[in-house]
Order: sequence, then structure tokens, then C-alpha cells
Amino acid sequence: MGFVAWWYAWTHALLYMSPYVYSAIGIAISIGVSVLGASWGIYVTGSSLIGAAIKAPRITSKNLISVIFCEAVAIYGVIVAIILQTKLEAAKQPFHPDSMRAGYSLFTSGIIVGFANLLCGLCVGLIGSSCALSDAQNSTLFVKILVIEIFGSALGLFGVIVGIIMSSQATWPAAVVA
Amino acid sequence: MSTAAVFNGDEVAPFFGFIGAAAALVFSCMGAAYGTAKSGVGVASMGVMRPELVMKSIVPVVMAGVLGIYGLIIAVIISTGINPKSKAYYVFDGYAHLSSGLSCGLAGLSAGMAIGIVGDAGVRANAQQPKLFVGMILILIFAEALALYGLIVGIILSSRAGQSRAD
Repeated sequence: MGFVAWWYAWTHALLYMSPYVYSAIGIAISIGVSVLGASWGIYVTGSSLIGAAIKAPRITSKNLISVIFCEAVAIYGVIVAIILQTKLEAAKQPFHPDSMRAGYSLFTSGIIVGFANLLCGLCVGLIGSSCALSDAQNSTLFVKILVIEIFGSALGLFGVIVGIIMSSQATWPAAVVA
Repeated sequence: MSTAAVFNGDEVAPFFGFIGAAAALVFSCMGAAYGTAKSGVGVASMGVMRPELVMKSIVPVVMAGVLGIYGLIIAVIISTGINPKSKAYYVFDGYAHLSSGLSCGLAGLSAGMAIGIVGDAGVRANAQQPKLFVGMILILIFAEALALYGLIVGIILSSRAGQSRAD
């Protein structure tokens, strides 16, 4: 056993969980919750787009770009999950404080990317649905509402940036030299 | 006894520090997403009748986007401040970073909700009564100031990290 026994702090309970638990859950959240956000945005946009296109079929091909903006959010999640899992290595000293810190950083990196992409996908989906509905009534509005969608998609990028900065903290300690 | 030959500080402290950075970004993004979506839907609905006002009405969307930037700033400040190899990272620092992230994030969430609802109502009203534009901007500025308060307190709190001991 190689960790400091903080027997008088409730945070001692956190030290009993292996860094693999934290890393694995973080990686799963980064891909799973990102895809949840992308799908939420796609169904909100897609249903409005199809409904509005009944009377204005010209809008379909242009407004697919809103669906693609939502899909990009899922791609961010895939990329970051792949990056995070390359940082997950077989820990030579599983309960060394540096290993615990690496585990925590992968966990929070995954949470940041996952939830930022969830919010971004939902936001872009709502605006995309309004874009389709207003484009069906007045075709000059498409490009103007697209500007608002671009502001929305920046949120997913913020999450990816911070997630990648934080995952650079995931340095595992080397093996103990006997 | 500890095998922490190179690690200075307390092992569980980085958990709270990282969760603080996550809270800063995720909650600010919640506020930014709500503000962007709510006012964006208002702009799209309004623009059907008055397309020439759409570009002026993008102001609430830009103000909501700034909230995401505030969260990004605090998250980067916190995650670059967690460096146990160069400077000891105690639970005091972990909790300071947690409070910094939560204050910036939750303030950004609330400001985003305010900006969204005011922006939505404001752009729709501006389309019918053009004199209301200045009034809408004034109310949006008051709402944005809330997120700024959270950013200021977050920066003050994260500067407290590292001050728990005299060394």
C-alpha cells in the first residue's frame, strides 16, 4: 500500500478508488454524452426541417448544414475520447499520488468535453430548427440565422480546448526501481 | 507513510481542483447555450416579418457567447495552476480552485438565463417598437454584469491557491 493514510478526512474514501475507475468513466462520458448532445440537436433540427419543408421543399438541401453542425459535436467527442484513451496507460504504481492525479485529470477532461458538447449540440439544434422554420417563410433569413448557429457551435470548441489542456496533466509515474 | 518522492502536497487535492475547472466551463457553457438558443429562436421568429432588423438583434447572442469565454478563462487558469511537481498542491488549493470554478460557472449559468429570456422578449418587442432597442441593450448589460461578478470573484479565489502555508 503506498498512499498517505488520511484517516480523519472524508476525502479518504476517494483515495480508495483506483485511477482506472476515474479514467474509464471519464473517457466513456466524453464520447457518450457528446453523442447524446449531437443526437438531441439532430432530432430537434431534423423534425422542424422536415415539417417546414412540406410547404417549402426548397429549404431541405441548404438547411442540412444545421444537421452537420450538430454532427460535428459528436466528432469532437470521438476525437477527444481517442486522445484520452491514448493517455491511459498501464500504471506501474497504481496508487501513487501522480497516478491518482492522472486519473482525476482524465475524468474531468471527459466530463468537460462531454457536457460542453451536450450543451452545444442542444443549442445548435434549437437554433437550426428556428433557422429552417424562418427560412421556409423568408429565404433571406437563412444566412443571418446561420451566424447565430456559429456562435452556438463555439461552445463545443471551448470544451475541447479545455479538455485537451487538462489531459496534458495525465502523466503517469514510472515504475519503481527496485 | 508515503511513497510520494516527487509529489508535493495531498493526493486527493487535484480531484477538487479539476472538478472546479470542469464546473467553471460546463456551467458557463450551460448559460451561454441557453442564452444563445433562447434569443436565437426569438431572432428567427422576429426576422420573418422584419428581416432588416436581424443583424442588429444578434447582440444578445454575442453577449451570451462571452459567458462561455469567461468559463474558458477560469478553467484554463485553474488547470494550469494544478502542478504538484513544481509547487505543492494541498487540499486548501484544491478547495480554492473548486470554489473559484463554481462561482464563475454558476454565475455564468444565471447570467445566461437572464440574457436569453431578456434577449428573446427584447428582439420581438424591438421589431414592433424600434424605440425599445436602447432599453433592451441596457437590461442586457445589467444581466452580463452578473457573469462579470462571478469572473472577478473566481479570479480572486483562484489567486488564493498556494497561500495556505508560509513557505
